[in-house]
Amino acid sequence: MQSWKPRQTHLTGLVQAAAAAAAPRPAATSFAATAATATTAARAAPQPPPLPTTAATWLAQLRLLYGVPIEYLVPDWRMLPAESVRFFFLDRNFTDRLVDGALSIGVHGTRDALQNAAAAAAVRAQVDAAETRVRDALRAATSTDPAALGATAAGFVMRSLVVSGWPGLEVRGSNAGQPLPLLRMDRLAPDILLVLFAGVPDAVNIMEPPEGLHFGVRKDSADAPTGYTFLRGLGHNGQAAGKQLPGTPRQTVPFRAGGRSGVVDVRTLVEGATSPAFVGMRATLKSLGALDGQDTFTSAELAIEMVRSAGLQAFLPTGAK
Amino acid sequence: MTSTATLDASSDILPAGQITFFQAVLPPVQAGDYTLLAMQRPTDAHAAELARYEVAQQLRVDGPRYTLPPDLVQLVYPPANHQGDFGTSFPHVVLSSPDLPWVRDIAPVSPPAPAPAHTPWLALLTVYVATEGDLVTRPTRMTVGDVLTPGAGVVGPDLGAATAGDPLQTGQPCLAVDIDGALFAAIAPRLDELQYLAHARQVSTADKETGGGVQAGFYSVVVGNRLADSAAGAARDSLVLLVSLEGHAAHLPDQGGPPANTKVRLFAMASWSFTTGAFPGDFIDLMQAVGVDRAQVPHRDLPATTAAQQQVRMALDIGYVPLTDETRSGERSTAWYRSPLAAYATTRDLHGPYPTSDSAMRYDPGVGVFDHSYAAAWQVGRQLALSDASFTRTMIAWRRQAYAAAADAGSDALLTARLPAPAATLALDAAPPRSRGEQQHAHLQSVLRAQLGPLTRAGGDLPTVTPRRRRLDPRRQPGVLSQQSLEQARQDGEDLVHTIVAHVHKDRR
Repeated sequence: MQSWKPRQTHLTGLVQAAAAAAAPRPAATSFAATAATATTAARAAPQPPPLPTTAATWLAQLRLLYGVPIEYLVPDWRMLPAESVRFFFLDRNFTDRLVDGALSIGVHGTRDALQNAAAAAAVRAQVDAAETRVRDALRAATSTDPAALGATAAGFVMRSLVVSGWPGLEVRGSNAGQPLPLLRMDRLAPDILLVLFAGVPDAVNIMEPPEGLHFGVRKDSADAPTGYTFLRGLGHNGQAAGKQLPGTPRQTVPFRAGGRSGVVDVRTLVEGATSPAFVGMRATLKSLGALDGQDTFTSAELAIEMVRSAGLQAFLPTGAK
Repeated sequence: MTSTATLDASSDILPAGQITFFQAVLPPVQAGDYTLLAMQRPTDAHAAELARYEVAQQLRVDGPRYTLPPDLVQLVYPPANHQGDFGTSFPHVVLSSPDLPWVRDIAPVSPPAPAPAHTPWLALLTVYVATEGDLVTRPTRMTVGDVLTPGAGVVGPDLGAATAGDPLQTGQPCLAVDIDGALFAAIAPRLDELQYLAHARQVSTADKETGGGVQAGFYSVVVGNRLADSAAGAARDSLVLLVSLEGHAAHLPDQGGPPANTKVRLFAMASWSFTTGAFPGDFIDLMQAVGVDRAQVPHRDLPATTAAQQQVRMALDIGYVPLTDETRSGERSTAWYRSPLAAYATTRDLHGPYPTSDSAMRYDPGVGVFDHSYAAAWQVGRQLALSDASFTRTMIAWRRQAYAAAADAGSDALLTARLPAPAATLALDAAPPRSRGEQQHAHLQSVLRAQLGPLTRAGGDLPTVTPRRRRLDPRRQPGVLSQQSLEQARQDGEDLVHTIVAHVHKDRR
């Protein structure tokens, strides 16, 4: 006949561990104190096995609000009208309750509930750590800056034509000049973007995606017959690539003659012409010493000369009303 | 040729970050029909020439040709159907495949003149709808055959007789446009200009969203050669067509152009239109118009004179939303809810897990209103967990593992508490114990050996225990069961006491 005592011992251990986990631990003053606490805990109940990585990742994604219906994030659409951005602090209590709910599955009795309570602190620490790796795992990348574990997270949700019109737009947050890693950046709907930073940013920059930078010309007046562009360095002869060349040299952009306006004469723009005389971009850049030794001028060089600067919108959330 | 540009945000010249521009990204093999030939020529020094073995395999390297899968178009500029001041911009399309513009030869059959290296087969045509709209048909659904052999007065691409006669290809549906020949000659790029109108870009994806296919970071860009239509004081629509110029090389302006008084039929791989006018529609214009606020319901014009109004005002201030609460008793009232996107920072409450959603409900007895935010969170978490079978299995297995570990530790503790420590000789046993069971077994054995060994060696009279099965031998209790049922019960391996009890109860009934 099996005694009930081992079970009782086990439960007592769990109760002790649960109580220890529930009380916020004071900061350890010395190694000896830590060691003593650890030994007592070990005697009271064995350390529960750590949560499997897949489960920790799942819970971390839950904490970053993956799968949470948007109605729970924006309970009233007046909170997020069209063309708006709303800055927020992530409510850690809300996300911890999400995890509590997820851990509650398969709890049939005291033993399961006590086990959850006993493991709570360890699970929380594990999920805090997993949270910072969710985005890296989704991007199949390794970020160089590990985020502070379980820190206050903040971010913004933006609903705008910009989100749908400029897929791939870039977001950078920083605090006191230090860039903050992104915990999550996803579109919840075609025009709604959710961004979570590991930390509270004091400046957020939203930038036009560089792959979408467009070609453009400048014009002195709306009906000017030609346009122009300022020339940039190409990274040769000590001229930084992408930086405007000294003396702000201008290159005229010629258009094709004929009844159809607005068609750029690309060939003349690049190679120049003899009659009427026109100095092309290749020759202009060569005279400025911007080309390499072989006078290479291809679509890549033309792109650097012709792309217009990207839009960058800065936000300073602390100043927001 | 590669040019890497470090782009600097401090000047307004180019954005922060780094873009690498590539002249072209060439595919390992261009699309087309190939023959793979394998030949083996065995030799034998002592024999005459042996037979040769040859095998030929036809193969086709395929890729988008008549239509583009929609997910290949990453971004178009100016954005489709947007309105803005695009008058000094050239339209472009960003394709998510870095080598797409170079996977085909622009002149697959007989080039009129050799095309320069790295000439793309895709180009953008910008049509001014106001003045040229009637010279161009809108993209129309056709079959490839309709485009390759378009009939009188229209010229199509020359992809060779083999393609035009292949029913597998000519039957495919596609979108095509007819464009007036003179207009085509005026706005299409020259053959020697095309090489400048496509390039590839590589960008860092560290600051981009994880979904939406923007994580590749390597794109090809096809740029139009014509500015968007603009007119002072009027909104003008521009239609942009991404067309395949494969087989159209002879129709380009510097190669003679299309025959007089004909139309040119082109595969329309993508098309979009946008409106240019004095609208704020550029990235910065739109961003400037975005309203910035905290995550709150608009409430600033609510009165806040009475205490109750002030209470409501404060709740709305910190991001709460009043929602109808249907309580379990059927009562209808109002409860507060706040999303995890809180308007103000919250302090993390480290008190243990909440075992039920009710325990996460919060109640303000002063005003008698519930706050259901955390209870709702608890329920969402539980439902999401229940909907994921593999997560559920992992959690149950993890909990079982914890119980097994705790049970092991419990029995260890019990053994240690009840028995003296094992004799030191245990440690000298040949093989270390493999499992916890073996270890406990060895412990028990060593204790028994230490305690009972001397007793048995002394020949003492040890107390014995008779198992119950033997004690209840029915031979000593005759008459309760018949010999037959006794044998039956024994064969079935039944506990004889149970058999007797069952027998007695049966008699009572």
